[in-house]
Amino acid sequence: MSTQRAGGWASGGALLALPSLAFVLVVAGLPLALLLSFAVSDVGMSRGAIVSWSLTTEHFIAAVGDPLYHAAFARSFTLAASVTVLCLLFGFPIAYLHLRSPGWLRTVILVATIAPLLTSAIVRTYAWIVILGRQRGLLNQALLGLGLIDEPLRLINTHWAVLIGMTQIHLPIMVLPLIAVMSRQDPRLEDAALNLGASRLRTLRDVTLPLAVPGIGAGASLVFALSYTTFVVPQLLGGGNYLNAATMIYEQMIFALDWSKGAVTAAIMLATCLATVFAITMATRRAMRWSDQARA
Amino acid sequence: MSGQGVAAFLDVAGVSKAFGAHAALDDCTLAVRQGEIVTLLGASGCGKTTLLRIIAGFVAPDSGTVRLGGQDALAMPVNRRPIGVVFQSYALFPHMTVARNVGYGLRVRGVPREEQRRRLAEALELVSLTAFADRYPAQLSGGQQQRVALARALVLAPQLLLLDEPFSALDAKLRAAMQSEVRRLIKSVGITAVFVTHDQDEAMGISDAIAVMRGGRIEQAGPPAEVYDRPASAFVADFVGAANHWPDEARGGRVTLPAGLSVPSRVIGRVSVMVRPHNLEPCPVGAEGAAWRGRVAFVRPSGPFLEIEVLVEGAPLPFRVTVPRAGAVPAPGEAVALRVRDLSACFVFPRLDQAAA
Ligand SMILES: Nc1ncnc2c1ncn2[C@@H]1O[C@H](COP(=O)(O)OP(=O)(O)O)[C@@H](O)[C@H]1O
Ligand SMILES: [Mg+2]
Repeated sequence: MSTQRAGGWASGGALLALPSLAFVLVVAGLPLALLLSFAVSDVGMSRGAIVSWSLTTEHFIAAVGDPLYHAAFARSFTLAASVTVLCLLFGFPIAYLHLRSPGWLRTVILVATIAPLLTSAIVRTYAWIVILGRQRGLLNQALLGLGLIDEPLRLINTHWAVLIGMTQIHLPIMVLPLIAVMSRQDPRLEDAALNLGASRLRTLRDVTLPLAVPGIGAGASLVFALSYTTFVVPQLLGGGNYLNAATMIYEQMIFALDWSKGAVTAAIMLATCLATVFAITMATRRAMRWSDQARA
Repeated sequence: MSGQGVAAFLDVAGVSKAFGAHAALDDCTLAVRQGEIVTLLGASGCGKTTLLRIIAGFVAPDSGTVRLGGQDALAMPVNRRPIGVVFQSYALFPHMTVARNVGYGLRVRGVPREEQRRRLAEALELVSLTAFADRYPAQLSGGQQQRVALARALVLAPQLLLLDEPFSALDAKLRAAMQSEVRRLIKSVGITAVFVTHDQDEAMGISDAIAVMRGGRIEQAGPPAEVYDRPASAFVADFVGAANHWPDEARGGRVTLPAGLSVPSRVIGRVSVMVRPHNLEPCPVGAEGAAWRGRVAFVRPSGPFLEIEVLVEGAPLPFRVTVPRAGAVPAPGEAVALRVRDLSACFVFPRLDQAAA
């Protein structure tokens, strides 16, 4: 196997990858390098042109000690972590239902999962504004109409609105890898567990869930990374003064025009995001240790 | 199979199951006595797996009954049936070691720890896998995986064992070894077993009785020798072993073959006379009691025998004749007559138009 792959490299596999590698370097590598260089520099600007440039770590040091940063990153992290957990809680049953369904229902579930991805996240966010709005929001009107509440609830422009909106918007990203992994599973494994005396619930816990771990890991990494860095949804559903890491970068870059500060925030965001995804990956690998040993 | 008056241990009666418009099982009836190994033999798609899945409780039949030890098995929930299953691809849990796979049923049933340990050790011992207890299924050979699957089912001491084509994933040599191994194991624990295969040699080698299935029905059931020597239909005759076909007409309760021999027939009109290759012997043309005349096409060794292919005058397909290697053997191109060794092992069935079986 490995010799074959080495042969592939030598015989032009790498050459074939060159164009796309160059493309990635230009469109992703360069801006990233630029961003990082801004983060460690003091840049003097005048009339849109750079007039002075010197290396410094002062922005980083300032950021690390700033309680405002702590609050913004803590909020981004808790939000992304909660969205990930909620997506898993709602997504797993959907994927499980998909697994257990007859052919036509599987198609319905898959289409219903993918359809929201065909609309822009902004459209879906506005839909949530319509539903969660204070005065004329559908939910408040329904609750008032049913006499369950006397006064409209404050939903929009709260942490809850952001949480609900983000969960719904990122749900497909969790469900798709789960479905992909779970539908590759041999259905006879569940039969075997039942035959050995396990209940449906026990079968789910002992067989279906452990074998879905790669899907859970992939879905969790994607949902976490997307919701940790997302900007539009918190901005629209959380209200103008909802501060998290992404909205902070926006303010530093666009309003304060302080590119170095913004670059530092972005760099910290990138590093913490990568670290978390790495941690999820390691946890997944740990839960899948059996497959390493089996391969060895 | 259960004889008259002997109560069957497993009694499947009138079971039907359709998937959409397709009838996978059509009024299927099977009786298995306690301690017997019965093989369901049939071509792929004839409903063997479906019947096993109904007995095990993974699917419910549309109609019919399944009784096990006198009790209504269909009323028992799938995870409470005292039935062990060895799946076609073994269905071992890939994330559990051999010990955890085999011990799973004991853990789920809440067997006391000490007893779990003892029974697990016994089961691993039984299939000689004690040394592999900590391996994962992917680290085992096909034959070892198969033994894990067997141990996992047997450790729960089920009343009935179902095996769905358990040897189909093994190579030919290992298959033969595993067949006698599995038969020995099953007999040593004295369990009743239903075994599925599409391979007639396998069926002959492992079972006390064979049930030949066709299109969702059981066409004939009986001891292997009976099914082979007294097939109930042209289909069964063909399926359980090689057979030569001779299309002819039966008149007055007999079929008269070209070289003069006449064979009794219970049917009249268009018939197919079937003779097994080892029931024919070549003899000089014009010899007494010959049935057919033809010319030798070729001779090839087949194990301890020689297989001779004879182009019989008037036959749509060449006849196959097996003879011992010792003795005079006709050469290719030579004209020969064919004699039937045992007339009673020569079958006459009505001929369906194109089919002729
Ligand atoms: N779950 C199912 N859905 C639809 N058709 C099925 C299903 N299971 C089996 N069948 C059909 O029923 C017939 C019998 O299948 P099966 O019992 O698996 O045959 P065998 O095991 O003898 O090869 C086949 O034609 C198969 O396509
Ligand atoms: Mg089958």
